[in-house]
Amino acid sequence: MGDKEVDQQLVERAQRGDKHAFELLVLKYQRRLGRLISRFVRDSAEVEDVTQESFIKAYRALPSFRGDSAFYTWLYRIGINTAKNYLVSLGRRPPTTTQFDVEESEDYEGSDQMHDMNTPETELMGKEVAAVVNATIQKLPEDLRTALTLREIEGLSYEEIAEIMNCPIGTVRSRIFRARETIASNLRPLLGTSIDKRW
Amino acid sequence: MMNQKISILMDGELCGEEAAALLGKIKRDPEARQDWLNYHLIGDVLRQPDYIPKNISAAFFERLQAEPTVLAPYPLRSSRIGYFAMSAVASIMAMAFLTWVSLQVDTQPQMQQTQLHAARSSINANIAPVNFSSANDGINEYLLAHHEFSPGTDVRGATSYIRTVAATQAVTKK
Repeated sequence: MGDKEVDQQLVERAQRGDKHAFELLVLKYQRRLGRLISRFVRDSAEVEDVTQESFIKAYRALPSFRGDSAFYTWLYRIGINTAKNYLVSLGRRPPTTTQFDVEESEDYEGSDQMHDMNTPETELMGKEVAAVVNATIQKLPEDLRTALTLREIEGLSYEEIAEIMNCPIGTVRSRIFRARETIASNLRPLLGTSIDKRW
Repeated sequence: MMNQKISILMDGELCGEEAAALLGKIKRDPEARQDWLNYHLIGDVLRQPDYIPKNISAAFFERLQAEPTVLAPYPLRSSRIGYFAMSAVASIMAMAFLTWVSLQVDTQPQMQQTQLHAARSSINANIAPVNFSSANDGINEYLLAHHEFSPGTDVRGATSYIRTVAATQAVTKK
């Protein structure tokens, strides 16, 4: 089952009335959607509101989602439209569609603008999280670091990583998990263990 | 063990049934949900370390609870599959029915013949042999000649010939 199929499973469950399944999609995509919306809306509190609104709209529109496109593509379109409508409601001029394409939105790197819009609390917390992740990943054994990087940054499949690293798929599976678990265990004191915590 | 499965699942490398079962567990288990969130956060930080939006899930889940539950008559794929499955079943049923009907039509005359033979045999066994007089022979000839007009005859015209041949053989034996 590929990544899109996992999303599709969750969508189908949500369409059958399972709100928890939709919550897993929110946990997965909230930061990516937030980052996309931050390209339209500068204030971090507004970004949160528009992100929530986009998810609510997506939830209400679930009956119309037929799986013709990937869930995240569909969600991102909703996010862009919600952000544009939000700007129009404030009397601001939204950017044209050609300026922001859904497909390219994931690769966007606009760190200067993002630093400007962060509140001190958000920025501090974000920096701490990033510092822990980066420090931990630097300390990881090279094979674990390479496997996780190839997966998360390059987006390669286990099979491709196994070929590159010249090892069985089972080893790739184990290395990626161990890398994630090591980073997560270092993040836990910072993030808390409850889902209701701010981070 | 479950954490490792979550890691594999989020990479889209877990097979269908196992993935479905695990998704069911994750949504019920708060720790598993936290792992799901943390692992995705790690990926987000690695891809975009400069800006990490806040976790909005707690506030959002409150809003979501207030929303009417969505019940969509999913799905297009399933309905298509269902449509084709129903068509296939209907076709097979129709074929089976037609086959059954044709078999019934084919076997009915044979069954009737078999039943007729059985009835005659039992009658012949129960009735004592009678010596037919010449007058009876005349009646038999009359009956054979007009047998095709009998109401018990299925195929008028043809049966009389069959009977005639049989009667001729009987006469020859005598």
